[in-house]
Amino acid sequence: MRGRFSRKRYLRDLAVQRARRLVELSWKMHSEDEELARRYNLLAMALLKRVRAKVPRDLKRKFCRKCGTPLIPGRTARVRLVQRRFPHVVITCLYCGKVYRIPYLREKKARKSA
Amino acid sequence: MKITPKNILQHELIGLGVEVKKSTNIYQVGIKGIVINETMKMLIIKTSKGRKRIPKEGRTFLFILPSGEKVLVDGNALLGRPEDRLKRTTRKW
Repeated sequence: MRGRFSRKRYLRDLAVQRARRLVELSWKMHSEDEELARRYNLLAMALLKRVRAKVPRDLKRKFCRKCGTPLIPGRTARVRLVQRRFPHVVITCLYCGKVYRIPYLREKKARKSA
Repeated sequence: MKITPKNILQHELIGLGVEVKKSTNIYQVGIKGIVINETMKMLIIKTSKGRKRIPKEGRTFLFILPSGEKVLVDGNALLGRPEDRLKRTTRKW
């Protein structure tokens, strides 16, 4: 059923667009009202989950998926480069303490061989 | 995808300009501001005189879209949690 399929895609696209708007607003709102900023991001997550859409790559580092706080380096998040075990970026949410690790081993290897 | 009068019922209301056009409570008519939060039955509007909580039910709202267009929306059509509104299908508007 082509019609159904395209409707699914349409809803996914719509949800992603809404989530983008919310995350953007959340960053602006954070200085004014932290609680509301968190609410926006959690709402964005709820939207994406509802249509089973992935969190877009550019949004992945922009907010904490556990508590919804916008991850602003230096203000609400700590960003560190760690070499031990495997090279990775560690992003810590300073509100709830959730830790995100993003490896960059592949990038490093590519650089070495080049 | 942009917010258009066609998809506003499924789209994000937070961040849009809004004005209360019709209400059973005459003191609510004419309240203007920006939507800053949305719950199942209420819109929370930031005005120059603080935050106002307006029920969606039975009111008519005038939304100002980012493109500058203005749309009249029946509040009853907006009832429901914001994430539930996304999937609603039957619309007679």
